Amino acid sequence: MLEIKNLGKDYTTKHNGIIKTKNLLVAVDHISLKLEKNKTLGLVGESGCGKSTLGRLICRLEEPSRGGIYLDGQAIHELKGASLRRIRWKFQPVFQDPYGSLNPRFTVYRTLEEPLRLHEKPGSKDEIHNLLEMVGLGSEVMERYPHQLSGGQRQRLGLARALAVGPELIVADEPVSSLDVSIQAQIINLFLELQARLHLSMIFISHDLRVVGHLADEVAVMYLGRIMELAPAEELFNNTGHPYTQALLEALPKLEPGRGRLRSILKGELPSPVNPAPGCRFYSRCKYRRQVCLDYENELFSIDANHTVACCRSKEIK
Amino acid sequence: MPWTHAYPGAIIVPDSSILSVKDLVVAFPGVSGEGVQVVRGCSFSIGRGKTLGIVGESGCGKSITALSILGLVPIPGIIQGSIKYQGQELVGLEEKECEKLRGAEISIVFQDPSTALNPVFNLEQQLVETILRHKNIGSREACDMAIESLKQVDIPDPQKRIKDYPHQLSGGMKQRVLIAMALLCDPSCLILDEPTTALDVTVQAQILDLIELIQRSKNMSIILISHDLGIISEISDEIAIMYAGRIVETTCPSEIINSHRHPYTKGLIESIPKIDSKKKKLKTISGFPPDPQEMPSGCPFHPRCTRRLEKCVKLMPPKTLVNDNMSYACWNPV
Ligand SMILES: Nc1ncnc2c1ncn2[C@@H]1O[C@H](COP(=O)(O)OP(=O)(O)OP(=O)(O)O)[C@@H](O)[C@H]1O
Ligand SMILES: Nc1ncnc2c1ncn2[C@@H]1O[C@H](COP(=O)(O)OP(=O)(O)OP(=O)(O)O)[C@@H](O)[C@H]1O
Ligand code: SF4
Ligand SMILES: [Mg+2]
Ligand SMILES: [Mg+2]
Repeated sequence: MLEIKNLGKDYTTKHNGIIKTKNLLVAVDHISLKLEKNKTLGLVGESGCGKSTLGRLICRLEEPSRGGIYLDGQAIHELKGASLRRIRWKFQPVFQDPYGSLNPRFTVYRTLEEPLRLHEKPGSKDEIHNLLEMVGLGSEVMERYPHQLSGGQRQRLGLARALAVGPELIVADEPVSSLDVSIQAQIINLFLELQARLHLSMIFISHDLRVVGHLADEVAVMYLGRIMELAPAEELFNNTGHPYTQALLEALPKLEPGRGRLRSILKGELPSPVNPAPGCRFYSRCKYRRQVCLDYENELFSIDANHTVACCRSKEIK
Repeated sequence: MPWTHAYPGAIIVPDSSILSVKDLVVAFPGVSGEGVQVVRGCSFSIGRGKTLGIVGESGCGKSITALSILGLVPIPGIIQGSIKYQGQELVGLEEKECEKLRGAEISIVFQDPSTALNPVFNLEQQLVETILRHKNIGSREACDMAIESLKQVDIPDPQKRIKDYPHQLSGGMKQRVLIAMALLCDPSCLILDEPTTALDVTVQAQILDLIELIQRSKNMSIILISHDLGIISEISDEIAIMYAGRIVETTCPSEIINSHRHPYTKGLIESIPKIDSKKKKLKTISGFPPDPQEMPSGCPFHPRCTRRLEKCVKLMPPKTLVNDNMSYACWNPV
């Protein structure tokens, strides 16, 4: 139902040295993905790898620099103005901090009424009541303002607002990252439940591989704007094909005694995304690297049905 | 009058313990003028060269407990109970004495790294100042020591990086610098409050490795505070689970999964998503943690607890010892 072809987004950052130079920051590049109805794609990767940028592109909150986004065959990256506004209800974003994206002067009622009105689906009080119930909020919150809600309640409201217009696709950007574990679990369940009930397709972004692995049918691991590995969660876990995925898995805190275990197989930190060097994006931190990797531009290839990787030495990985 | 909820019964403090906290209560004046307890009778101790992990959700009192140990509870907070460091009582200690202890004996890396470094001074200035405050040495020598301290936390090219200002550092680098700073005067006890929360997982893994390495080389005692049970299990010897200002269970990484006793511990474990759990519904704890202003009667967990008995609503469960290192406070344990 959603297909992304070769999507890329660049930013130019100005550098004010003695000579004014323009730097090219490739936030995401060569992204190709497919998402079926009723399925969840998880996007995982470390800070700055381009997860949010990709999410914003898909929601048409930003213009792609190249490539295309197709929703049920329709090229939505080409839509502008009124024609874009007419189909916006189909794909709705949910953000990490609903506080920042909720109008602080709107009550819960108004927050939910507004999108219905904007999309010419004026809602009755009943409908709003149903929405609240769907996300596990009681109608006693109807007249409250965002600051009078707890973090978990605000996240429920953010989800209710996205669901108000009856979308087909939800793009959730770190929706549980700022919540306490016990509240996070409640919201994860809410996502699972609503997806099954409403037959939603979902893109779920998180830096936490545990959360993504739990929720998603398929997981895309991103690094410096590229997809490094794409596979069903279980396959990714059991049959890891990329050194970066391996490092992420190794670094995950395990619920078992870990004293003396070496957790970090990656040395150094994330290189700058500005003017990246040619060759594999992961080269500078990779323990499997060889000369050949410098001529390899992270083209994805299949190592199994449903399993693609962007590592030319994938076979050597154990 | 306000302290009637403290745990009855003393804890057994093994001789090897370097720090022992007993019946710690911290209160702030509430809206109605009455004291609101945010730490409500915590007892724990930590052995020399050991790591104690304190885990709990936001607002349960982890940071305030840590700050009490260093005499840094913000005014107008009031502390009661006992905190003994190598036999010396710290509660009620003069500020001048406290200051001598801080850094030299007990050191802390605060929760928010962005506020802990001064943005207008470079690393050298900040490190040297800290050294000179505690040590009677020349500035040349202090400078060498500062560079050495950065080397110790694996900062590449320390001679050059020491001229950096905080904004030039990545999150991981900042955390390394803060750890270096806390280690400057060779403390015997280091408190780390959420040392990796703002970091990416691969950098978090590096910092955890570093902490373990340093601890082993210095035989230091560490109190590690985190909301992530996974991180706590990774590097702790002992684990204290905190809920609503109390320690509801003490255990250790090898026992927590299969032999936990408190329903809250069970709930926490089940709430953690697993990478290969395939869209199964998580078992969750209903509701949310209580506000210290409106603490429930009896067991503070009773409104969310599925194992609740009648007496849980009325009576605070006492601490029950399983063995030297394990205890729980529950009327109807798992
Ligand atoms: N508006 C912008 N102008 C310039 N650069 C940008 C802009 N938005 C994002 N970037 C850059 O693009 C890259 C990708 O950013 P993005 O926010 O998508 O990452 P992310 O994976 O969501 O990270 P995080 O986990 O921190 O949210 C980063 O290097 C970021 O600095
Ligand atoms: N200066 C203060 N005055 C009044 N109350 C305070 C003060 N500092 C903290 N509190 C309250 O004390 C309780 C415990 O706070 P503390 O910072 O110890 O929590 P925490 O467990 O560290 O949480 P987090 O995981 O969010 O860091 C909270 O309810 C908080 O609102
Ligand atoms: S292509 Fe080479 S450098 Fe890149 S991840 Fe694979 S082995 Fe490492
Ligand atoms: Mg983001
Ligand atoms: Mg804290």
